[in-house]
Amino acid sequence: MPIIVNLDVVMAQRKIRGKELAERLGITEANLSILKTGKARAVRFSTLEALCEILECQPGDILEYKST
Amino acid sequence: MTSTTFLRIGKWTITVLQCIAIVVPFLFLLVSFSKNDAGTYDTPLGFSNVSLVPEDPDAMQNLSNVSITYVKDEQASTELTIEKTKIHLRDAMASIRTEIFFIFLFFCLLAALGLEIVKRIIRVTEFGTPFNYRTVQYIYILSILFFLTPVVVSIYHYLFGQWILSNFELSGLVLEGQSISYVPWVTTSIILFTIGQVIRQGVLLREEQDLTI
Repeated sequence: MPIIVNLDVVMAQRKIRGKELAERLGITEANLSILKTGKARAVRFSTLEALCEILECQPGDILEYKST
Repeated sequence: MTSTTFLRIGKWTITVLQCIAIVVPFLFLLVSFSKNDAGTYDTPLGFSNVSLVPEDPDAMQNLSNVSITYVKDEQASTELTIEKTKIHLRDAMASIRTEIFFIFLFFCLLAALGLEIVKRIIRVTEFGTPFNYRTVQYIYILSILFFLTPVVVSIYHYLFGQWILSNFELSGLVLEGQSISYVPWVTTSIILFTIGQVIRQGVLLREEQDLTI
């Protein structure tokens, strides 16, 4: 898929652990892993909004488009 | 009646039908050979729509001018009898019964396979997980089975007719094969295929829903 999820990079920059992020987002660690590994088919705006708020970033920092 | 009870009854019924489908050909063989000594067992030529009929309908009254001879053994006892409008052959030849048994067994096993697939679909429905690719595969297999049944039966009719013509000398008799109607079988096959496609779309949607974070 040409959409790349850079969540792990942003998480490393913010020094936040997966467990804590999942708890604050209100999702399971398994779902966060699906998101991090790029296996997710879609992301809800509400989830993206919460991610940006917690990680203090823009959606573009998390998602990136790379043409194949 | 709750849906669970209905599914359970369906599963039991299918299990019983499967047992019947497997046991019946062997019972047929057993009865057929046990009555062989008595020499009165009636072996119709085929268990489907392949029949012997007289060329001249008037000959039906007294069986005049009709005869049948087993080519491989002219001394083999054969006797023609009338049942309704068809002529059946009473015989004492084991080979005919054995061949009919194997063909019969093949069809029964095919039916048992179809029933097994339905039972598995019922089982996953009972567990509450019917929307998966396995169920879609089961429905596609059922669809293919329904589609192939009239084709297989037609091939059987042709082969059985050829077998009769090569093994028997028919005098005043002709072979009559009523062709099987493809419409209900093919229609059912198309309906099943469509249901399979619908479930496949459902599985895709569920997957998408599951992978939406």
